[in-house]
Amino acid sequence: MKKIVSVRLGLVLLFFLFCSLPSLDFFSLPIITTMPYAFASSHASPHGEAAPHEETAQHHEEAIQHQHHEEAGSHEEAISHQETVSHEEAVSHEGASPHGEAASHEEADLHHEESAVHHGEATSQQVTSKTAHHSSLPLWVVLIPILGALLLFLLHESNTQGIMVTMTCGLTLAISLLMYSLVACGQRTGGASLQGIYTCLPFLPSFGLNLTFRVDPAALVLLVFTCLVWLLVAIYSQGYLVIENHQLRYNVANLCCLGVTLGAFMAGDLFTLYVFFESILLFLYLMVIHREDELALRAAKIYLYFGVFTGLMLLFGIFLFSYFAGTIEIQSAVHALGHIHPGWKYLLAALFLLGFGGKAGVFLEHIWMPSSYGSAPCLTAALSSGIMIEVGAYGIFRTVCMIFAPVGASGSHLQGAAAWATSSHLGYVLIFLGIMTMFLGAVNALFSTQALRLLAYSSVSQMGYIVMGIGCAAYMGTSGAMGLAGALYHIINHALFKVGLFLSIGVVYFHTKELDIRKLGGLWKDMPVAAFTLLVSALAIAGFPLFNGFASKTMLHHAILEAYQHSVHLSLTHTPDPWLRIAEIIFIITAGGTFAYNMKLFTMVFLGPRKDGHKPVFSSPFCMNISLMLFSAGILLLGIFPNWLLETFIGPMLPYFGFDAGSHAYHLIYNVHAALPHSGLALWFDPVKRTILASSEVIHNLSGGSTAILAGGTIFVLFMGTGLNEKIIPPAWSLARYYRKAFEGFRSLCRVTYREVVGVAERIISLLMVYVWIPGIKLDLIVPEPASNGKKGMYHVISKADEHYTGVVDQTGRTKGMFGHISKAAQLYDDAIDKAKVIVAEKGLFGRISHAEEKLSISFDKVVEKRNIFANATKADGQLDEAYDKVIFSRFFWGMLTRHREFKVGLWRYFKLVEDQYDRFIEHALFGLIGSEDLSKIQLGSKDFTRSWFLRMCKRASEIHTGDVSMYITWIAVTLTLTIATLVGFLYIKSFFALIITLTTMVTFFAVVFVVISFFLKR
Amino acid sequence: MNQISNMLPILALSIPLLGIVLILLCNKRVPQRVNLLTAFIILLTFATVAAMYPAIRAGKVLAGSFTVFEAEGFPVVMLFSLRVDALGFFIALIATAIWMLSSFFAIEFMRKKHSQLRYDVFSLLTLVGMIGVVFSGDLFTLYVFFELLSVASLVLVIHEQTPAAMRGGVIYIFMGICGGLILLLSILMTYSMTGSIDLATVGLGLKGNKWLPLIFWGYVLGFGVKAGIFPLHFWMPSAYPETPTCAVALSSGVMIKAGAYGITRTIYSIIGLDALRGGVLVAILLGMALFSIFIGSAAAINQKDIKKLLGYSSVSQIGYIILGLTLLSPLGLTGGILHMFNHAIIKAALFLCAGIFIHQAGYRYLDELKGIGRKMPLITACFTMAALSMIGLPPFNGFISKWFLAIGALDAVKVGSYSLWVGILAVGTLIVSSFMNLIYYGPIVYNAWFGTVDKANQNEEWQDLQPAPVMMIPVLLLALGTVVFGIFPGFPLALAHQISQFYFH
Repeated sequence: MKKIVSVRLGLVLLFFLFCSLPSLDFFSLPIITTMPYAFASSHASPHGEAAPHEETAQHHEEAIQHQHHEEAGSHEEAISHQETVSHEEAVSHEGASPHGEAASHEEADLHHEESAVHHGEATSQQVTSKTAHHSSLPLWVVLIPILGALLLFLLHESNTQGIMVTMTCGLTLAISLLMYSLVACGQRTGGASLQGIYTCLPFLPSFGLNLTFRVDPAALVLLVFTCLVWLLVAIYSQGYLVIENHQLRYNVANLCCLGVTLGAFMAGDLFTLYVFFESILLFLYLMVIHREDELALRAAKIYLYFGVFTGLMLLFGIFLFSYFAGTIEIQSAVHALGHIHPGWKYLLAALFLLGFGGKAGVFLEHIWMPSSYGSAPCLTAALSSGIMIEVGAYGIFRTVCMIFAPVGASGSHLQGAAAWATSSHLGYVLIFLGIMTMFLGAVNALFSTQALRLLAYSSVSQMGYIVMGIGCAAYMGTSGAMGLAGALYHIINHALFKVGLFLSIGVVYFHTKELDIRKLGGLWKDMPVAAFTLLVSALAIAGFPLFNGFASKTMLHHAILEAYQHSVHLSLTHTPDPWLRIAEIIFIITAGGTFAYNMKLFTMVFLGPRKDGHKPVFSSPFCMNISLMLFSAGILLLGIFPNWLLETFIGPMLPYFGFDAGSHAYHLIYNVHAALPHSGLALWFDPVKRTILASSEVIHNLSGGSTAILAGGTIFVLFMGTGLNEKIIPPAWSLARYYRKAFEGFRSLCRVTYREVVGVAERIISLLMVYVWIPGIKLDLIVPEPASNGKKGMYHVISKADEHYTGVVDQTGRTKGMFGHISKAAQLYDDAIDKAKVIVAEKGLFGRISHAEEKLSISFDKVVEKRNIFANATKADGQLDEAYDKVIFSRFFWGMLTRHREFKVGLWRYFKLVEDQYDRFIEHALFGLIGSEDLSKIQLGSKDFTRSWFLRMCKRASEIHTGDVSMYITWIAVTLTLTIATLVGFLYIKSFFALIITLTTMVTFFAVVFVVISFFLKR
Repeated sequence: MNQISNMLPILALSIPLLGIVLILLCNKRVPQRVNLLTAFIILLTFATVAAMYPAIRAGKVLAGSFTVFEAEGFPVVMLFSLRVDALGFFIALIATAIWMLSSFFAIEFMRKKHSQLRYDVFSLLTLVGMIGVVFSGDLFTLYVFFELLSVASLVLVIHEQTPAAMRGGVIYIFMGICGGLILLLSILMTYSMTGSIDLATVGLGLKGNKWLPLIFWGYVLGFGVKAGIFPLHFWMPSAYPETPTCAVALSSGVMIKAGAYGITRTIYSIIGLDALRGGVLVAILLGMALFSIFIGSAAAINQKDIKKLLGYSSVSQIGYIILGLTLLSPLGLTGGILHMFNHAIIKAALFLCAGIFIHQAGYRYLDELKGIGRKMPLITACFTMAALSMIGLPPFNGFISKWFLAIGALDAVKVGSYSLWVGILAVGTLIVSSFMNLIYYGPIVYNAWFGTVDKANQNEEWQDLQPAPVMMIPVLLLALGTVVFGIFPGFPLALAHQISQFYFH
């Protein structure tokens, strides 16, 4: 026992020792100098000093070659002539960048004192250092949770699991924070040196496949917030998981999920991205199916099929992309894709969007979310909704704003608007996809009564906001900063308030085991913390001022307004696009709907009278409360200081993605390039002047929000007043039906293919062989095809019966010990018939007979199959009689069943056939079962007519072994003769001696083989 | 040609042959130990094959031919000329490895069953055939061993001697021998046209020959029967359900690779790339492969018997391999050969797991396998890993070969073998087939773990279900292999790349 304890202790120590390794990497940072990988340049304005695409790629390849001393294959030749040039450039960049940085620092200071007018200049003078740190930290961020999960699994400890999970999450958070200084997106100077971390793990370097991680500012923000949220949820889960089974499995899946999610955020190329993307699917699947009940099974099935399908679409996209672009790096491919037909580009984009959209749950691809979240533990829903679907949004963002946008690649032949055309079109599509998603999500949420489903639809709706923001960013090209900032900001905010919502509902479920909000009410006194958090999160998600959702939603609203104004430049008629105006109106309505359904959730769960049937509630575990309080605090902090996040994280990264942050109407609100340290976003409060903004700006800012809340309040009152709040959308309207139909259609395509192509062809071959080629084989082993020209339903019945008959005949031959248990078979048969009777009585449909037949088939198959079980059972004559009687009785019933529908004259013929089959089946089953073993012991008594069948069966059994062996030998002898004859024909002329030797050897060889076979076949 | 003479190939062939004698002798004294002895003989064979690795990796070709007859004025007749290059070594290595694991599995599996000795003798004889096929230096030797493979494995197929097994055996030997004869015709035609049946070349000079289509289709039919591509697969579903599972694992995992090996040799060694590129012959074969992928999966979706399901899955997977071979691009060939390796591991793992289900619980229908994960978690975990690998999810080895096949398909467009649409069609088929794999492997897996157990299926034999360690270890090793070769695919990939480089340098 002591040994085990010490081993466990050793394992834990080893783990922490392991986890301390990354810090070594951090401290030795100055030694790991910059590598000549050119990061995507700062912005793509026409005057920018952006590095050409080829150089970027080439730098990369050099790095890999240098690192692994591997041959880079065919790519090397193509670019070898550029090597010297790029070396020089790399040197010059390294030499120049300190000066450039210093200069920009000075400039930034100047700008700091001057007004914001000069921000344009700052933009043009910004110098980006073309360096990226090479650090192993990203690898550790992925590895540590997974190793933690492994440790958890090995320790198998039940008491300290929660602490282990929390500590692992904490460690991961710490390591991701270590990366902060490397990525250095927090510098507030105008000439921020936008660096990143680039890590390349050789996987198959000679084939250009590596696990590459690239942490740029956008990835880092998501990384840090993911770890943070995960940590808080881990704290919460220590209390919550008490009510769930299989805690170990859950924790292991949870930690693995953390690791791969972080991996997906950091992925530097599409191969890495896909690997982590699919891994999320597997681990999340375990978390969805956790409860293993019917609902969870069904939900997990939907999730699995859907996830794999969309993942495969992504993979398809990646394959095609690698073909067209010649690379799988996640970087601008505008130049590489410049020469191909635009149709291919849109196909690629569609595949990417389909793949990522499935994870994000955009419109038409959201169906897995309500069912999965509704049946899984609330932790799953919280993490999946808060973090993992953001992976999808992040993927869409990377696709539209990096791969198809000319960021960092100023192709010589593509400039300005032309380069942005693809991403602009995609953005336009995304705007409407986002609008549809948000609207329909909100409508569905309004008509949901199961709390987790409501929140799931809410997630769908919020994902619509994010997608719309990304769409706006892409649509407007370089001036789309507002959309991107809003979307990224909303991703972070959504992670906070949606997890808060799910966890509060989790508390309710923890105590009441009830999720139907119609049966809940008045719980706020019992669970004040949960009620408070839910209220705070609900107000945040509704975009109430002073809560964090307000800032991001306002920015998204500005983004769509800007897109409307911007459409003047893009349309042919130079008028604004009216559809975007409509989109903006739907946006406001949806914001109202969001307010309404959240208020509905809050009032119905926590306010009002306490419904009967709930047990008295004890106080929640401390760790759950503390986690919820931290979420509320986070939401309120971000809500009161909205500009902090924008200034430190989101703002500085915008130029990195090629957005000209100062080029639009709202630059006063969102003004990074002025880069005044304390005056970033000031929506209603100016921290510098310490005054509330009373200008028209703030009125403008607040007008959208207040309209939305007014509308939301109206909807809410309407709902509560008319009782619509207890209504749900009929399941028949659900989209899932069409997916199921499509899926079933695909399956029936497979079935038809199998039956018509494979089945028929196999049967032809068999018949050909049996009737034409092979003498001596039992003809009745192969049953001819029944009349197949009938009606479809009846044909099905007959073919079923036939199939079934064949199966029984096959199996009777090798069934030895079944005799004693034929009564069991009869019993099962009777049951099947009874069920069929019920079905027929209820439905009165002919098609149902096939159902009965199928059940009959299954029950017989089972019985026949289980000969092992019954092998040692007694074989009694009395039982045979009884069984026979039962079978006869059943048959009588079957006859009645068919005669019952006799008036359908047209179909009678087929029934006749069925009955024939049936007769043969009964006979064969019965006598096949008798005819194998211990023949002498069976007294047949009065059933004289069975004797002839019986004898025939005996004869057949004895024939099988001898007949077939002789047949084989005949057959092979014929073959041998043929072979020799052919050989003689061809080889005689060439060499006589050779022929003799060959023939002798072959004859000896085959003769030996055949003799041995025939010897051994005697069993 | 850096060909070195070496005794190892001959040793690899003679060890199992001598082993047959040995176990026949030992059968009198220790009949209970024959299975174990067989397993160790195959282990020794595996070691012999593995010993060739350094020389092969260094680019050498091992030749073990001995001249039987040589005289003035007569052409040299080399019977059993053995010649081991990277391709032959690669297939032989995986074949002996799987064979070894399967025979260890069979120690327990065949215990208390009839005719153990017969099974062991013919297992060894089939192994000789298998190694002989891939070690052959010329087509005639190949043909002899190919027939030996067909005939000896017949005994494994009809081992149970039930009528259904006999029927399966009839179809198997019928198709095998017909295929063999057609193959012989092609070999003889090749010889009379070119005067050479050597396999060392990259084309025997059949380019422009008017008989080329006939010769090509002869080879394809002959080898295709053994490989089981779509129109020639009929022996598989009828033979598999009645064959002992350890033999099915060999047949489906290894023996069909003999056919795939033959097609590789046909395309790249006998007829040659120059003669085929741009022609319609290989394009039709590629179409057959795509069809095979789709039809195999479609048929597997409709199966209720797990052995039949796995058999049809092999039809689909052999389509992947043939697809890789027919793409006529370096990466495609790499992918195809890599998939021979990966599929052998995965399919052997799946069949051995199914064998344990059938052996221990007596269940083979998918309905009955529900909830089996709660009774046999370790075996079900192995099955799950192999199934996920078959679907092609990372980080399993199936994903690697799928990736290379797809990239190879698009590489073929770059090389100029096919048009872009063909490349996209091939990739699309791979994608659709992955989803179809999910449709038929997914339910088995999640029902095994999470499905509700039907009360009617419960029986007394649930009590003692844990299989013996000697059955578990091969399965565990194979399942481990799916992960290890997924995360570190360097070893098989390096060899596959070497082979591909030889033909495409």
